Amino acid sequence: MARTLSFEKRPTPAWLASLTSTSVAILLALLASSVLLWIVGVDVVEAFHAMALGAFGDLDSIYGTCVKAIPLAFAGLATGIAFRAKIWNIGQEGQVFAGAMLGYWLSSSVDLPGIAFLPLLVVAGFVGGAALGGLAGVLKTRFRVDEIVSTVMMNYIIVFVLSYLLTSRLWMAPGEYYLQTAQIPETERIPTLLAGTKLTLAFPLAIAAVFAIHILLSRTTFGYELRAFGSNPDAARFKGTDPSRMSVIVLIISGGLAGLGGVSQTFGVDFRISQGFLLGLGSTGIIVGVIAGLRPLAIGVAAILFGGMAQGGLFMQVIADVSSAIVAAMQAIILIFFLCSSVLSRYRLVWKS
Amino acid sequence: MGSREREILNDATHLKVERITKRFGDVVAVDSASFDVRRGEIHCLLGENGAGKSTLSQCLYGFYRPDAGKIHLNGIPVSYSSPRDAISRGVGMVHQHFVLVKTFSVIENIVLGTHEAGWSINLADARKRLAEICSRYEIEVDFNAIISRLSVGEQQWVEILKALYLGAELLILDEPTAALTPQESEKLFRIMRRITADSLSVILITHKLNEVMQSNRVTVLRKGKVVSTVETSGTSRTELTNLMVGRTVMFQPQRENLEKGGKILEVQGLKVRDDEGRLALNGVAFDLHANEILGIAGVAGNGQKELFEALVGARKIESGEIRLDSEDITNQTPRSAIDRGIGYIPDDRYRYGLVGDFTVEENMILGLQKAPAFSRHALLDFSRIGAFAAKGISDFEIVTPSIKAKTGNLSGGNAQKIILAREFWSTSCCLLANQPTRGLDVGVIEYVHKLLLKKCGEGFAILLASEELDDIISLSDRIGVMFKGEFMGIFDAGTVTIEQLGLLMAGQKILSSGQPIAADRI
Repeated sequence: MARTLSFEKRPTPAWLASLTSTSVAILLALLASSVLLWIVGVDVVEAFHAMALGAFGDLDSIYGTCVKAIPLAFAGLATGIAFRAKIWNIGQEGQVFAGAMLGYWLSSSVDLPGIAFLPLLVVAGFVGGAALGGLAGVLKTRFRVDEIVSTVMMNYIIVFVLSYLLTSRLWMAPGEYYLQTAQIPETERIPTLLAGTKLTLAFPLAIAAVFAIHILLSRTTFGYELRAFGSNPDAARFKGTDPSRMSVIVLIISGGLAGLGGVSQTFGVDFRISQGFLLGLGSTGIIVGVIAGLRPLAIGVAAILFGGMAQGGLFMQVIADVSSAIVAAMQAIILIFFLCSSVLSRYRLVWKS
Repeated sequence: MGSREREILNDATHLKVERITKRFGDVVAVDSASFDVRRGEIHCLLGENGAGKSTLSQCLYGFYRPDAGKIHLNGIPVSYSSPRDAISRGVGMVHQHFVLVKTFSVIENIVLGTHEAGWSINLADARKRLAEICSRYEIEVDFNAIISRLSVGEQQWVEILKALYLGAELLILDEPTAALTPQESEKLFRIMRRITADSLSVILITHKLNEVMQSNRVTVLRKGKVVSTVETSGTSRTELTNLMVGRTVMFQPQRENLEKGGKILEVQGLKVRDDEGRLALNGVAFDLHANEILGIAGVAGNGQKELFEALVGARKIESGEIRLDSEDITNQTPRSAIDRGIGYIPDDRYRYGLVGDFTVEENMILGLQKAPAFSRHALLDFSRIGAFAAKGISDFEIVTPSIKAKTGNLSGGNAQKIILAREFWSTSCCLLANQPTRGLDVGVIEYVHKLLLKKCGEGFAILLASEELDDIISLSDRIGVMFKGEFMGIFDAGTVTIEQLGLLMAGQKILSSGQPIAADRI
């Protein structure tokens, strides 16, 4: 009798299958990216070599990778906590901007020594992002506006607000030619850990956030309720969780985390805001969160991986003469393969007679 | 067809199942099961929950692929890769949970399920064929009715009609009578007998013995294995029960006569709307006392669900009043209901009572996570939770690989026991149980009954809704019958018969002449 190969759903997810399919996904993503590089007409091996070297080749590049990973970790955590509650906050992009902007407003309106300013800056970053998230939460629970729509729309609104602040010269330094704010004074920047690098205090803060969200989700009563709400909102409501309250709180925390990403980038790396500097951090954060399976610790690892790609991409651009747009394409390719692999890992192949 | 031909057909084996095995991971759900179905018979698959009835039937329907074993249809070996294959070979299945599109009409549901529909639908042809099937088997359904407006019983006819329309010759019915009035279930059996008289065959999956006794043969399953197949006429309820459970079961719960305690719950003029905005409760009123079980008989969908939800604060109360120990708790939140010690066993356990992705131990404390017993300073105390879960598992004999196992993988009965363990622990005054024994094994039902009576004896006030009239009659001190959002009357136990309850459930009032009247209508 002929035997046919077919898919069968696994009763429980298998670790080995998950690991294998993830590795295969990475390989396939690299393969697909190679095709892309080949089409562009560059030496594929050289390009990847340059990327790896740029990302993890020496201490400096590793520092660079870590720096790039910081905002991605925050935006990834923002994704993780919201999506675990099945609240589809995809406004990380705007929330990153909002956090950075409120931070900048604070820096331009108060004059404090660094020690006193830093905690306020962290609060401002969180509040900025949280305000956008919370607004989406109120719209969702009060007026039944879908959070996917409202958060995406706010991405545009906040960027236009920035655009207004710059073009109207409210936030531009006198005599400045580019559309960007004045530089943030050195006393109000996030202090570096290592002289000569941009590895700031934001890095341990990001690590702390990864562990804090991990503990919040896995060990606290709030995290327990959040997970119950995400997997079965009806049961959660019947067992005492107020759905509106939960939605708003989740969006506030999620937005706040993204806002911290904005502050860490602006006050640790760029030292000024322009429309271009923060672009793409939030959306890459969504990819980071999803690829990590919304698990906080894995988000930390994925952020390093994507930080490495961004850092290595710069090298690739210089050495192999590849446009940095290729890096964005590669990130998207990896996301697609990861999503496919995570679905496939829930099935197994069986021979049927 | 001549009678001789029919006889030959009737003698023929319609379905032969040989040593079917189905595993899920380490769990062997069906363990080399063999049985056969003769053409034109009603063949029962009887077994406790988790005995493998459903899994076995899903294998016959092509939903699962057996890991080993053979299936013969009309003597020909078959293997399906999907339910579609099974349908094309004349096997139809009516699931326990209907798979109908609620906003579509009857005929749309039936025709859309067929793949011959293509891009355009010829309803006129379908209508003609359906009318033919309906008249042949005496099924009464309005083809243009919207599904959501139909009673559960009527939806059942639609499902059966759909299977017959698709050309089913072997009809598998999974617990079809779970939500029917006694009268409706009788009607179902009439239809089944008409179907089998036409040389079609029926496999009936059930755990209700009075239904089993109306079949031709019974195959009893226990722990995934076929215990035996017997002719129904040559067996008895007791024998079947013993085969099914593997030990002797007591049918009558022992209840002691308790003095009715003080008034705990007081409900007046309750008006509540359902999800579609229709009035689901129209002025419901009753009292519930300590040491008392008030049973609610009635077909599901007559407002029981809405009543329970209003009582636990999960549904908005339009007008009326609920008092607990004379404190007004109308429109409380679910949180405060839990904090006040009101326990709730919902009818749809997976939707309202459990989180399928959670582990057994996590579900054991659902809603209780903030109780000092399980958390401190907002941090969950997993050692205590684990100990509590382990105790619940042993007390309630929950079959699970571990306390960390995913709840969604447990059988329905074991999932229900998690809710029971949780609610019995957390309840301090008043237990609201909607269909607590639905889909449970005989042994577990016995245990639940015992627990309900024990809690009642400890001074709890218990509101119990059940579709199993046997439950209601054997447990309740008073019995209320719900129909279309109102009580048809509340009677003292012992003053009404099953038949009268059946009539009341169907909306007929009992006249006073020589009949029991509402003894203490409130």
